[in-house]
Amino acid sequence: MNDELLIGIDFGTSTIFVSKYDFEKKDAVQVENMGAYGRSNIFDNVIYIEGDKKYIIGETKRFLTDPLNYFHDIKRHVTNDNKRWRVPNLNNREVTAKDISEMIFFKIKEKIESNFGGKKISGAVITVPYAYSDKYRKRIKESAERAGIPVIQLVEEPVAAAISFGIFNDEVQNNKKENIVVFDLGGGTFDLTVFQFEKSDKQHAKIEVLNTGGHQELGGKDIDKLLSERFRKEFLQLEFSDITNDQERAEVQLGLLELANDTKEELTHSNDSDVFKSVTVNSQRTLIEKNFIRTEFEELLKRNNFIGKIEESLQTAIDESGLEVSEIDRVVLAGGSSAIPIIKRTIRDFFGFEPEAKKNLGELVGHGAGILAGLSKDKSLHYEIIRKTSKSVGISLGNKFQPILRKNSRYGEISSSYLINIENLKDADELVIYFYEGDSVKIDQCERIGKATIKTGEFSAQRVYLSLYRDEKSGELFFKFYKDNNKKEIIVSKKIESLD
Amino acid sequence: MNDQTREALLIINKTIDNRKKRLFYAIDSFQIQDNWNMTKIRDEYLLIIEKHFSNIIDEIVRTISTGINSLNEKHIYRELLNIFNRFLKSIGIYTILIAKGEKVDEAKWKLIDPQICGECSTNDKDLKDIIKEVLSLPYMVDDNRAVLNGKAFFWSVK
Repeated sequence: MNDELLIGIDFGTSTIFVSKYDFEKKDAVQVENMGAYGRSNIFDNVIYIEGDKKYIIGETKRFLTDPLNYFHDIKRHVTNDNKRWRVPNLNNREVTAKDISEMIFFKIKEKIESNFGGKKISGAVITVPYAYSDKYRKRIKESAERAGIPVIQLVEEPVAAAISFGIFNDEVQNNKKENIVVFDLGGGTFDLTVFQFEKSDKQHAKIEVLNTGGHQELGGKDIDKLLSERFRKEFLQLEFSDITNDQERAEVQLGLLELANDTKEELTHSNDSDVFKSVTVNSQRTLIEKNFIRTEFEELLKRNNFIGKIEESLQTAIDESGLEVSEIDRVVLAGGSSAIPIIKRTIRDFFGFEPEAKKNLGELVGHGAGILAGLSKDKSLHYEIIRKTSKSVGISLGNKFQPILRKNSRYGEISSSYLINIENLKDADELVIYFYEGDSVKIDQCERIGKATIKTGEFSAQRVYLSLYRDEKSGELFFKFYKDNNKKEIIVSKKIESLD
Repeated sequence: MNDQTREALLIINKTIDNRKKRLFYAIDSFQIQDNWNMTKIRDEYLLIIEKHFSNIIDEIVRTISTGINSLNEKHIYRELLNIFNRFLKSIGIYTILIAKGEKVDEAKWKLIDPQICGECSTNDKDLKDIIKEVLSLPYMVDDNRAVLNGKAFFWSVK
């Protein structure tokens, strides 16, 4: 029996979850004791740097005592070239978010290998949000590799969720094509993925991503903020800035957010919640006491357009998939906030049937990544995964974005060719073309992700034709220059160069 | 007993009542998953119990501490804290000592939550990991696990 250590890492914005492929069970199982002090399996994506190669991950409390050596929300900054920090515990060395990601992966590797008696990780599959750019994917892969983790591949979070859900769900019939929506409402982001799934048994399946959508800034934390604001207005009747003592203000803000989170959780399972808390404001005790009923909570979400944003995102995602709502067979819930009754009801009303939740919602993605890691070595697994590009890739024409490889093109599919006139390059030695990724027509709202540099001597004609495609397995971007529009004669074909 | 003390006692009663309801609900809705073994079931169950006990102790200790720090009838609050701690000890929950000026090692770090503090910034690197003021003690169960972490102000080294 193969006993290689194959790992799935769900590298989320707020939390991390790690799974390991079990060759006997032909399934991924969670790796335990990964958080600070070995107690939690899903742990906060934060790091405290004690010194060179001395890191603590998953522990948020250091923020208050040693904030300059503590980092959180790193994932959001990975593609930002201007964001750098000096770390006192590293002799004031300047680091980027990519460097910090590397440290987090280093510690993950150290913990996993220690959990398994010093055995080395043979390979890992790491999750990435579907909508994140190529630049992010490259950097996160490099971070893990520099930390000593051999990366088998990156997988988009909803694809991993789909694998986890579809393969091990006995209700999904064999040899029947199903159109499935993964509805992933987490703490900070909302991802929607429409895909087609077909399996013949647990070892053979085909997954085709049809479309992705959602909202980059919508999640459970927004609900906590809405509730907390409601309590502040109703009971304290003052602005936070009116609380003069810094510590008191911080305690009240944090206390209200905790109360909001508790209330949200209770209203997820009960029809009402007895909200009760005493807070001290400007040295006066104030009681927050109320029987909060679920309908009131739901009104709050509706009034603040939280539900409206979900409905809009659902409509757009289905429209762009090319399917009708009636053609969707299942909706799979992922992400902790998906369990809230009004969210489930909104989904049910939209599709006309109940959504499904089969596993611990926070583990679905990491579990799928672990299965994919096993797929690389367990030859009895045969999953075909057809992925599609989540944002268009193209070039700039002045201030305008000219897409070449369009959103939802299949990985491996070569785009239509785009004419480039090179008459003006007579005297230049090389041609440099920058590539951008985005959904907007304005270039400043798209992200520059790479470039192509070609010696002009390679072109014999005044006009060439450019096509783009993503590698079927790795998802990396390539370009091809053709002599003609029929794509018969290739002048040059290469991987898009990184900007790092 | 003055009105504020009466109000504090009322808050304590209501807190117990409020949290008790949540604890019973959590126990009622505890679900064992197919792949859990006995150790996992025990751990998950304890997590729920600890979370709710932690909430109850936290609210009560906070209310009593406010009384000790700011009111005239400090002796009542001190006695109340003693009664509460004695009750907890009788059911296996005990406190351990942490003190102002103590340098916290890795083992104790896990038992203390630093609190936001407006006047804790310092440039003195020797004050790293030193407690500036203790707000509440850690509450523990039998195998040296914290049910509720202690709270303290630490020096924040800039």
